[in-house]
Order: sequence, then structure tokens, then C-alpha cells
Amino acid sequence: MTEQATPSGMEDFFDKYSKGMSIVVEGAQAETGQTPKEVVWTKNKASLYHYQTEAENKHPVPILIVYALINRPYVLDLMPGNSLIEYLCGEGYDVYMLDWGVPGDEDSNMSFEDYVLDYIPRAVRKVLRNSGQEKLTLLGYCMGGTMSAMYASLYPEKLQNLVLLTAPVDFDKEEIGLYKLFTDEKFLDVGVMTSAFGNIPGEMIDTGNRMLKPITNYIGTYVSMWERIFDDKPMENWLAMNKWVNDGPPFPGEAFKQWIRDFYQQNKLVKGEMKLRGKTTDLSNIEIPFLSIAGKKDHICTLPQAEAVMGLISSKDKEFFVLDAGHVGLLTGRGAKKGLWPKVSGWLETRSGA
Amino acid sequence: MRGASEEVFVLEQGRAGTGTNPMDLWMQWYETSAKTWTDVFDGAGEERIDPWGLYRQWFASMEEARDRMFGAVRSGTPDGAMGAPAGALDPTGIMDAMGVAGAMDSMDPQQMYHRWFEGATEAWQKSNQFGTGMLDFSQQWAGVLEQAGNNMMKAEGGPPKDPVEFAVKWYNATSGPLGEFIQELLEKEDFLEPSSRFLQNYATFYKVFKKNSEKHLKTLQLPTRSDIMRVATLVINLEDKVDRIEEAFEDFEDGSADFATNEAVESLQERVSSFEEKLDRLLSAADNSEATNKTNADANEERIGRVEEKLDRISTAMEQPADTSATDEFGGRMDQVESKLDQLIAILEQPSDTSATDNLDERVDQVEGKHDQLLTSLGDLRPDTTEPDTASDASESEANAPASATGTNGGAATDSGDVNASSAARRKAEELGLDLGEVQGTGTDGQITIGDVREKGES
Repeated sequence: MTEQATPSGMEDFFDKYSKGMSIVVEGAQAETGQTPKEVVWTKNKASLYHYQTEAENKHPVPILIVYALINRPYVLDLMPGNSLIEYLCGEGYDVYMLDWGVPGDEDSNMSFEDYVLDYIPRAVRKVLRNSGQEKLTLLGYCMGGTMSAMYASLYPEKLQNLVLLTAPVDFDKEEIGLYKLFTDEKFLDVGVMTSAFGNIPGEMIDTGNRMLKPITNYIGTYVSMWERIFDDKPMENWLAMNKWVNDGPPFPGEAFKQWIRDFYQQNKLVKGEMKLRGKTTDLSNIEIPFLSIAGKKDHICTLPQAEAVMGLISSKDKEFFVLDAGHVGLLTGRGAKKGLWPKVSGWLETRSGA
Repeated sequence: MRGASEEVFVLEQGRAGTGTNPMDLWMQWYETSAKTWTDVFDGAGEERIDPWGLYRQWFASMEEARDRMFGAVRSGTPDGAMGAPAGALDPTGIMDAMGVAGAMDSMDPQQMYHRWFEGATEAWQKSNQFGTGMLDFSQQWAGVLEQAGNNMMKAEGGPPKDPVEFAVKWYNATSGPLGEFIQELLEKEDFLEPSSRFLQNYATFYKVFKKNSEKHLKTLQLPTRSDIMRVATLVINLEDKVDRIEEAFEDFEDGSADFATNEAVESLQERVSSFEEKLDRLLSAADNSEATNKTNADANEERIGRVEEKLDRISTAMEQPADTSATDEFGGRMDQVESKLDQLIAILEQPSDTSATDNLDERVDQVEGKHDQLLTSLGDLRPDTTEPDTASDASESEANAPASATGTNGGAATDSGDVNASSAARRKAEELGLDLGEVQGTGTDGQITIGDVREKGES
């Protein structure tokens, strides 16, 4: 610090210091989700967005993105220049996204039945109506992918393609890493949790996920922040990501119970035992062109968890694509621009004709 | 951690009654542990490359130091006052072996170190019981490692000039091994068990608290969260219903139903009025025939009145929107009825004798039968039409007999084999001397209409 002892140097130092501290104390502020969009349909807290850019629409078959119940969907449209959605629009795709919104206390009874049997079918219909098409491409991210796969197994008739991004399907105890312990019946009594809290607070879900890589998540993030501030590196992406990471909505209680019991503890989907209102979600009903993308470094949805679906579906045109990235790094940043984005766009290009 | 330990020292100070400054004690401990670190570095030049090994060694030497001190204390005083802590929270097993002397005679650094450990462990335990769960754990460990980092920095010869440079260096040097360390810690059921118990206890406590608050607020006549939730649920349910209605509308719109255009309905209306006009003529003709047979005429008038009534109902039905197929079929039927009426009028307008009135009687029966069919088929087309009233039922059954006897039912098989033709068409064919078998039917189910016959006759 000696060379910073000059008044201007000190001033600069304190400026930077206070900038950093305000982020630490108040949380990151950033403008996210800036691609122009129109709300096509809403139901309860959920909204269906239709993205409207100036780009010419080259591919008739629209894309419907189904997001997860954990964290907010603007990670797919983080910032101009760092947005999967903006990229797809620019490539001439007609993009829609189903945002589950932030559930309130009154939504603690929301279950996978509601999401897969009521909300997604309605959203699909709305997209088809809005675009005047017969079929669409369903693109599910993370848990949204798991839900999309279930939807596709029940209602394949309206789908042209199915794309899953880091979507866990197999919850075999050997493949889920630390979640095996976190979600073990011995340590996690979901009944007690949901009856006490109704919805599971976002912070609690977040803590669970962060504890998979505690040092990186709790300390590394901020080290990287200070480094950026003092090296005068651009902060926008860091701020946007940090805002996203700390912006976890509550997890509806009933759905949480199912997510832990039926998926993590009993692994029903791959066993063909998953039933929604009496309908068995048989993944072998999926015969449409299929693409699944997973990250090698993903510890939230591990590779084998995502890969298992390949052996369960009946599609002849199917591909499992692995990227050298983590759960979120897959979607945003420099790596995504060269990896995930062109892959999705390229794969869809020949499969999105009328 | 520091705060907690200092506090404990202050308390200890009060108990022990010595006048040592807690900060001094802290410094003494700090120096001791710093020395431990230096030992680590001095003794393990190669293992510096392996940070995990480094930490293991650090913990091993810490434990050794503890054992030495523990031995010293134990030899002085028997068993600890602290009691065995439940669950080995610390992977190094420090707590298991903790037994603490109630009072301490001397204040040598070893005992101070021991006391600090006691304090820190207690704070740790407390935070595990009352704190916010796993997060605290990692922060505490980060605290421990931060201390380690300080020492490491010391060993490297002074702090980096820039705090950020330091932070990055420190993070890079420690994140990997610390991450692994915590990973290993997390995988231990010994760690998960108490934190899961904490979570469950917390959840249960929260539930009880929530319940009691609700009760309390209820006593105060104040709405509670669950009251607001109930209202919100009602709103959501209402919205759900609206959404379902919207969906039903979409189904209707997206369905293959063609809407009857205004023009189609108007032309039907026109035809109904011309129909009415003809009926008026029919009525006046019937009036004329009164002279011949008053009873017959009365009966006819009554019947025609009923026919009119039915026609009114038809025209009422027509005023509601119907789809194109319905209006088309209706149009076809109108053709038939109209031709019938034409014949009827022709007959009535002839000077009447008894046989003519008889004939008229029969014809009116037929017409009525027709109308009944028309009504029935209209009813079929529009399932929501109110059911026919009983008065017309009576006349219908009365009228149906002659109607079916003469085979006027368009769809029914007729006596002339399997040719499907309306009776009007048959008559016309007879009139023109045409074979019905040669006529192509364009009506419902390929039925031959009078129009078809006319067309054939003209060609």
C-alpha cells in the first residue's frame, strides 16, 4: 500500500474499497433480462415470455424454454452480449420462455402435477397459437429439463424436438455426489421441513447447493470481486451473476417434497415409477429428435445423471453432447459463446423447418 | 471466533481472579500457534507443494500440542467440568478428548492455549446449536484457515503490499485444500447428523412459533398470514377458472367449426318469409274450401295453425347463429318443403270438391310430418334447443303416421328399391319421366333432391 499513499492513490483505493463493500453489504445490483419481450400468458405467478428482437425469423418452429424451480430464469438472458436467448433470437429463432415466477405462501401446494400437466401444456398451446405453428421445440434447463422430459413422455404430439440442458434424469445414489448425503432420509425429513415452512426458503436451497463447493461459492466469489475492482476489470457480468446467485425464490413445499422423495430418494423416473395424477411418465414414449447437453464439471447435475436418459428414450435421432463446463458456466460467458450456444443453434437449424 | 474467545477469557478472568489482560493471553496463544506453523514449514519443505498434506500436518501438530497440554492439565486436575460434547463435530477429534480443569492455578501459555480451545469449542458448539446451521460451520473453518493464512504470510516474509494481491494469493493457495477438507468434513455423517438435527429442531421450533403467533393474532382479531394466504388462494382459483374459460374459447375458435355467415342466415330468413307467404295463401285457399267441407276446413286450419306455430319456432331457431352445415342442410330441406307447398297450393287453388279436400287433408298431414322431421333434425343440429312442447308432440305423433307411410322421410329407404331420393324428387322424376337411378344425388348422404332431378331433366 505504500505506493498508494499519495492522496489521489488513497482516494482511488477508498473509492474501490467502498464500491466493493457496498456490494458485499447491499448485494449486487445489475440490469438483467434485457432482451425485449412480451408477456403472452400468465397464470398465478408463472409468465410466458415471447422475445421480440429485430432479427429476422428464419426458422418457423418456435422454441419454448422451460426453466427450473430453483433460481430465476434471467440467467438465460443475463446481459446484452451474454445471453443465450438473445443469441438464439439473433440466429433467427422464435423464442419463448416459461418463467415460474416467485411462489408465495399460498403456492405451497404446487406440485409437479400442476407444472407438468397444467402449466406446460397450456404454455405449449399458447406458443403454438401465438406462432401459428403445429409443433415446437421444447428446451428444458436443469429441473425444467426433467419436467420437459416428463411432459414429452406424456404429450409427444405437439413437439418437434426436445432439448435438455444439464437436466438430471437419473438420481442413482452413486451418481449424485454430495446430494446423496444431503438428501438422505436420515438427514433430511422433507415432511417436517414442508409442514413448518410451507415453501422451502430460497436461502436454504441455495445453502444446500453452495455447500457442494463451499469455498468457491462463499469465498472465491468475493475474492474474484475484489480482484476485478482493484484491477479495474469490467464488473457487469460479475454483478449480474452475483445478483442471480443470490436471487433464489422459495421452492414450493409440495414440489420440494416430490423432488427430494420421488427423485433423489427413490429415483422413480428412470425406474418408470413416476406417476402424475395416475399417468406414468414413460420416457420410452419420447421418439422425437433429442439433444441433451451436460457439463463435465457440473456438480449439481452430474454427467451420468444427464446421460442416463439416452438409454431410456426411443428416439433414433438423439445426441448427448458434453461440454467442459459447470452447471452455470455452461450457459453464460466466453465458454458458452463458443460451446453451448452454437451447438444448440446448429443442432436445431436442420430440425426447425416447417 | 476471536470475539467469542476473548469473551470467554474475560469470564475466566473473573473466575480465576487473576489480573492478566485478555489481550495478552490472546497474543500469547497467537504466538504459540504461529510457532506451530513455523514448525510445519521448517519441518516439511517438500510437502509445501502438497497443500493438503500441509494442512494435515498442521492439524497433526496442533493435535500434538493439545495432547501435550492436555496431559499437563490432566496430571494436575482430574476430570473436566465441561462434560463430553455430543457428537464429534471436529474431524481432528479435539472435542472428544476435551476435559477441562475447573480452576487453573498457573497461567502458563499451554494452559492459556487450552483455555482458548475450551472457549472456542464452546462457542462453536453454541453456534451449532443456535446459529444458522451449516453456513456457520464453513465460516468458522474459513476463520481458522484465515489464521493459517496469516501465519503462512508471515513465514513468507511480510504481507504483500496490496491487500487484494494478498487475498488472491491466499485464496489461490488455500481454496483447493480447504475445499477438499470441507468436502471430507461434509461427507462425514458425524458432521451431517448434528446439522440435520439442528435443521429439524429449527423447523419444529419454527412451526410451534408460527402456530402460537397465529393463535395470538387471532385473539387480537388481526388477520394472519394464513388468512391472507386463504384470500390469495381464492384469487388464484378464480384466475384458474378464467384461464379454463379462455381455454374453452380457444378450443371453440381453433375447432373446425365454420361459422354461418350473415348472408346465409339472411337468405334463410328470406326463404322463411316466402314460405310464410305461401302458407298464407294456403290458409286463404283453405278458407275458400270452407264452403265445401266446413269441418275439414276447420281441422285444416287448426293444423295449419300448428304448422305456423312450428314455423315460428323454426324461424326463431334460425335467428340464432348456426354453422354452415346446418344452414346448408336446412336449405335443402326447405327446397323439399317448398316444392311440397307449391303442390299443395296448386291443389288448393283448384276448385275444390270432397275428394280434393280429402286429398288436401292428407297433404297437410304430409306437410306437418315434414315439419316435424324438420324440427327434429333442427333439434339434432342444435342440441341445446329447448325440448319440444307436449302440445306439438301430440300433433307430431298424429302427423307422423301418414308422413312415414308415404315415405317422405328423406333419409329413409323407399319402396322403389335402394335409390335414396326425397319424395319431391321422386314426383318430379315421374313428372319428367326420368329414372332416379341415373340421377346423381347431392343432398345429405347422397340423397337425390328435387334440384338434382331438375338439373337432370334440363340436361
